[in-house]
Amino acid sequence: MKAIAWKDHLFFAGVAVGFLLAVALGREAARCSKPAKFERFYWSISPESLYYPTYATMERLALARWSPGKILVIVGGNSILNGAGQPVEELWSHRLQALLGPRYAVINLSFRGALPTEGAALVAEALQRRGIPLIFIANTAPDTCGLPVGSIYGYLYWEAAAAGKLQPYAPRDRTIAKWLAQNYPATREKQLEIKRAARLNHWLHFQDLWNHVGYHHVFTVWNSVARWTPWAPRNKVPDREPPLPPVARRFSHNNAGEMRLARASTERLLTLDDTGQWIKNPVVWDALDTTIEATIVPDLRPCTLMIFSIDCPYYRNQLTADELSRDETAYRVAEAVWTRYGIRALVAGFGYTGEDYVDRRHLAPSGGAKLAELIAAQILTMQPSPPP
Amino acid sequence: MIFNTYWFILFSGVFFPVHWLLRRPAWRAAWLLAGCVVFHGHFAGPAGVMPIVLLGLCTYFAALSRHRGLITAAVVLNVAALGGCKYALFFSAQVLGAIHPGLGAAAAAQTAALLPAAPPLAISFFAFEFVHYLIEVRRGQEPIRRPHVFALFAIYFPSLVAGPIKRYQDFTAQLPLGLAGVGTADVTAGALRVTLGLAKKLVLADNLTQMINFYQQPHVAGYLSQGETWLLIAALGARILLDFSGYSDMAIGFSRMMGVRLPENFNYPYLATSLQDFWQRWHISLSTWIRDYIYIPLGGNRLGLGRKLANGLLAFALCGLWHGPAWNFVLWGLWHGVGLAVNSSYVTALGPVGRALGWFFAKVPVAGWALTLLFVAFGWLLFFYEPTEAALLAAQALGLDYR
Repeated sequence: MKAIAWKDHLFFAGVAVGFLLAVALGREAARCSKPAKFERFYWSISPESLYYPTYATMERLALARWSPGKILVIVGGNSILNGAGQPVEELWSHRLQALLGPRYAVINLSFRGALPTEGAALVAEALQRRGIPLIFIANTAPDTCGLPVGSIYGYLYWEAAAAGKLQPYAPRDRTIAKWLAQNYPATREKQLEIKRAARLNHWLHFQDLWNHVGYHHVFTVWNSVARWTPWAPRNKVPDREPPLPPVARRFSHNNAGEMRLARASTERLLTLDDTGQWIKNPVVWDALDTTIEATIVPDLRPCTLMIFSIDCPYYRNQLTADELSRDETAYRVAEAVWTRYGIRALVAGFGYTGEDYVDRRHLAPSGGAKLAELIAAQILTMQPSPPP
Repeated sequence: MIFNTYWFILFSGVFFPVHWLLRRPAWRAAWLLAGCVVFHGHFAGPAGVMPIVLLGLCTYFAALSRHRGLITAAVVLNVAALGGCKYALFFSAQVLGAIHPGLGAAAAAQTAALLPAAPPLAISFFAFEFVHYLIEVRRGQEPIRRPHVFALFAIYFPSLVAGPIKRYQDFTAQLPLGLAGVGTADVTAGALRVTLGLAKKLVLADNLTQMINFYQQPHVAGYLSQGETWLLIAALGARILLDFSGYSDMAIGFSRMMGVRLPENFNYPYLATSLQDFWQRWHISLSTWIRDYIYIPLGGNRLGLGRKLANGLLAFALCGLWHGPAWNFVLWGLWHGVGLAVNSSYVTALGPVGRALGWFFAKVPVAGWALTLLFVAFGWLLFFYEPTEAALLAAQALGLDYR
């Protein structure tokens, strides 16, 4: 280096101190900052509005709910268990907590569009490894399990892995490595970037710091979901659901489109043979088998409850007898597949009315209450793992 | 965008400290070359590196031979590589297809089968720098003799992906200064420039991109008021400047952190008071390249008004095409070509009216500034909206009924 001027010294010292200060603040944020009065990951504290809760935050939220002597009930899965359509005051997981009583601590860590192996499943796996007695609940479509990487929530897996939180499970490592190798170079590089980010955040805590600033002070990234208050700190954006229209007007719009989806949900899973029996499509069901085996660690399986939700009766009533029969068979087959791996599975929605739904899939407060009763009855018969 | 990847952060965390700590220029040169190779290899991949290595070898040896025929052949090879990799599909499907659809479709199918899915990373920059180098050597300048210096000129990582397009005389003069020892003043200035670039790109341009992408959606754009549409077009213009100049700032800054100064690429272009002024401030390294290696060799303004206008149009059509193989870029280039032709000739062509206008714009520069900004803004409609019909619809939404 050439001769160093005093002001350059000052500059480098400023950069170094600023960097170290930011890391220290990030570390502190990772240690104690989390959404206040947390009930669920609603849109403004979710990746859909470019707010990316870290794995560490999710784990901290779960631990904050739990205390020794209690059984932690971790809710994962997608928008149905997230309670999309239910006002936060009438969230189904509140009802579940009330039904289970003080011996259990329910935390809803589901995300809209998440797979049962993403996010909350990783928290359950890590906390189980730490010896916290828990039960894990998630939901999915009958033919879907999915890898914990690859979707918008995939970063949580890399964060948990970078922090060394996950149980060692070679089949999962092999499956993810194979998936990465089979991807297009651009997709592979994108995943490796997410992995690098997770590793760097584990050391430097920049995402934790940014989340803390975005939640408490100012949000720095404009996005269409939060376009009316793009810069507002996310703790100022309330968890509000749009008011529910009366049942008569709730389902009528876009009926054709919704019916297409209702039919497609099990269409490729089974085919009717000449004798009137439903034959499983081996491609779909073999893939489900392989993915469950490769992604859900064996220790977590006995304390896992997998939910499948059927569509609203408004749409089911428009299905033909064959379609209804195919639907019901597909759900029963899915139950059997998951049960084969020691995972308790059940179908929710039979006997629900139109009043119980906000749309084709999502449950209204009354439907949520019914779901909570169904799940509570199951949980009370399940053994948490590890035992308390 | 490569400079804001985690890979690059990790790369920088290793590369720069070692570069600064190395004592001998030869070691520093070797380290820099290794860094450039790793950077290029990572982002371009083997399929993207090989064509550039071949082009580089041909360029280096042709220039070294100083044989005019070989140099010309190397220029043709570079132009053919650029045309083949980046524009062959466009020419076969769009140009040939417009003349003879059947032939165009067959040629496009053949081309698609022969070419890789994407052209080698930054092939335009490589081709432009190599052509510049070859032409300068053909004109009598000294070629680069040391292979590692040529390799550094070719794959110098700060300017590899989005320029600025370097001139080899400047680069070879700057490189030894940087290799001799990096001053902290350079590192400080470079780091500040990188910070400025990152702020332009990440804080401003990326936020504008999010907004523009949302408001451009047909189901949203259709409900925008005229005022909001004007704001959208202003955002488009701001976004491209902040994005591109932010990237240039980072390239210049990273290079400065190694003691090597790269040419400036932007000089407050939206303060230009005429279109000529704009092109002396916007993407300077490209516009001067086009001027030196296309416009002037075509005759420039030496062969009468007609040739001057034709040369300008051709140069700007190629300038547009440089941005991508699509008609909207060609039209954007032609739009500026026509604008420059008018800008440079109206004073004489319109007689007393022209002189009065010239006097007016000289006395009231804010009028020239507003007119230039408006002209450039409409150019961005052509640049960003494909097909052209969409650009015209956007212009209509601004209150300009083109029908």
